[in-house]
Amino acid sequence: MAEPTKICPYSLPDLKNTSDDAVAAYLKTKSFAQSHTLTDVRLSISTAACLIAGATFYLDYTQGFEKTKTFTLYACIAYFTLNTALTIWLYFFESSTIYVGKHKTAPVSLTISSKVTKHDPTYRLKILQTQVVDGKNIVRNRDVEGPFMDWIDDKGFFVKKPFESWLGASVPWILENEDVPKELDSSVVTASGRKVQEEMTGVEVGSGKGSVRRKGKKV
Amino acid sequence: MLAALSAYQPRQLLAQVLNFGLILSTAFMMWKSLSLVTNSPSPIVVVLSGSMEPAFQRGDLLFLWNRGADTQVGEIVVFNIQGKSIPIVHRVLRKHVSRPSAKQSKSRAYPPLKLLTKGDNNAQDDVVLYTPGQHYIDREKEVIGSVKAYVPFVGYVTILLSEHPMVKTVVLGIMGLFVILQRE
Repeated sequence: MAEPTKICPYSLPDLKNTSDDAVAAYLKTKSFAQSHTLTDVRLSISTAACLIAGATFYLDYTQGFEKTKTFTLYACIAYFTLNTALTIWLYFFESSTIYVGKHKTAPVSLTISSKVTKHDPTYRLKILQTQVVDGKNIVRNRDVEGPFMDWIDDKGFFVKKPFESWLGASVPWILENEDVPKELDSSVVTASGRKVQEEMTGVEVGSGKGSVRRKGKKV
Repeated sequence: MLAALSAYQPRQLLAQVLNFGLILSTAFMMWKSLSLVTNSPSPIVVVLSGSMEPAFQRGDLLFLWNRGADTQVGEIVVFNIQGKSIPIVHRVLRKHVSRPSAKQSKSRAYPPLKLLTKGDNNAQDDVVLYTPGQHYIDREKEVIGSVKAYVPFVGYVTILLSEHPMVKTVVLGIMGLFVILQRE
């Protein structure tokens, strides 16, 4: 969040949420358009569930138990089905993803998930960068981490500059001056048209010095 | 606090509100499911008076079951007298079996029952509690279930909440605020 909202610098959820929000805000300035599909699916499932419960409550309140029995039965089935769907969605699809977005001009998209470990004030991002080169999808996975204290001061205010330079340095493409990496030409990784998740295995892991490189198999 | 709210993106705000809604609605829908399973509009009730002592004390939590309408003398039933809002928990003292009409005998396993009830701790039977002119209660229309299990004392919280309405308002308000203001 760019606004000077004060948080408690000792609370990990606060630190994580503030930083998660800052990722989206920063990428917006770097002409990435955020895709809200994941969030929207979650919100629509929850809204539907709440509406069903609300309708049940209203009918039950105005007409009583006996008259609304059949409706209540179907409503209960629908409600708990939606609840299960929501749990599955949260667990398997949305999980820790905090950002999905596409560059407005360049054929690059980012999927970012964040993680903190209990009692460890380190912000960990997993950045999946999908690039289209010669009509083929190339996925690059970066795991970066940084201490929260680099961009949240001791009073609990978020400081924009160090955060943005940290994130920018982690993902050179964001700074809009990175060439397509040589080791990621089409002979190394993947064919086009497949999902990011499927291509994660066998893709280059990490970046920069000392990173582990695995040669992906051609799919 | 309001500053914290206004800093949310619309989606985040909606998500917070929905989280709160889901907590409430899950509780409500579980209650309704229990109602359907037990066939009782109010499957869990709290004893509000001492009229069934020593069997039940004020604040005991009762679990009701309302399937199989062949109530026996000696069973403890919970019933709603028409026109009175508070359910009563009393023991069945006498039962009258009416002759079912042709239609009833086709559609139901049990003949219609009329019950006379009395609180164990009361000197008289319940005719004085019924609507004037009523001498028994209708098993099907007025009884919401018979007691199958109970947990002593834990229902006392609801007595507190209903006898001091302010407590309820304050507790609900605080819970709501917490859910909306906290993200994790």
